[in-house]
Amino acid sequence: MEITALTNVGGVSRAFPASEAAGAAGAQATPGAGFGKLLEEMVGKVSDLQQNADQSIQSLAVGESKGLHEVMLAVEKASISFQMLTQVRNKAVEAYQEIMRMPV
Amino acid sequence: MDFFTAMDISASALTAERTRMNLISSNLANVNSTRTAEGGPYRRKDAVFTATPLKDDANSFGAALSRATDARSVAVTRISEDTRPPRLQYEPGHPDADPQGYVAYPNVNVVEEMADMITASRSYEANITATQAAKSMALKTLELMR
Repeated sequence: MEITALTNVGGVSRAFPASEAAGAAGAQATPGAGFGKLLEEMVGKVSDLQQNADQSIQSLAVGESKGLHEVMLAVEKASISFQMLTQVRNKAVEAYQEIMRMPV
Repeated sequence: MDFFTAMDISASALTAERTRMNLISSNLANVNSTRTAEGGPYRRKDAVFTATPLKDDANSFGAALSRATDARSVAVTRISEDTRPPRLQYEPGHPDADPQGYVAYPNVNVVEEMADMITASRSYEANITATQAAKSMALKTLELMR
């Protein structure tokens, strides 16, 4: 019952639209659109967090009223999400190399 | 990511504790202030903390989960003034002395403020530790992918 309740959230299915599209349209889905789009959105979010961290450091440096801890947390958030992105990229490259090594 | 919710809650607590620390500094600095803009001696100030629901800016899985778990951040909603009477001290030569020669000093007790300061700084440290724990949990989770 718990699991069926979670499907109403929408966040999970929205995060992976490619699988739905592939299930509905089958082979007609454009190749690379699903994961590529996901990766693009992720890069966008990470970039937003990085810019946010940059801006907060700048506002602290010029003396605008912004809490020290808020700046530190913004930097930490940017760092963690960047590491997440790096891991996803590493995994994708690893999968690609694994396939390229496959003898045909 | 839901680890950021924990960090946001800790950040709100850090802001609240910082406000409290500012008020304690103000109380300690004005322990002998006999004049204020409102008239009369300075009155001891204290922060009132309120548990507030999280900002649900995103319709993400993490935001829905934190709403379901009923997590609350903290905010300072009011600065209350202590209603205890001022401390009267016999100083006939003081310019703020009343006709009987008594000067009304602020109702600030330095020892009490020091104890409050220790509480505030320990709470701040506790919230820093919570943030670090959330961060190390997130980083440990990322190590799963290696």
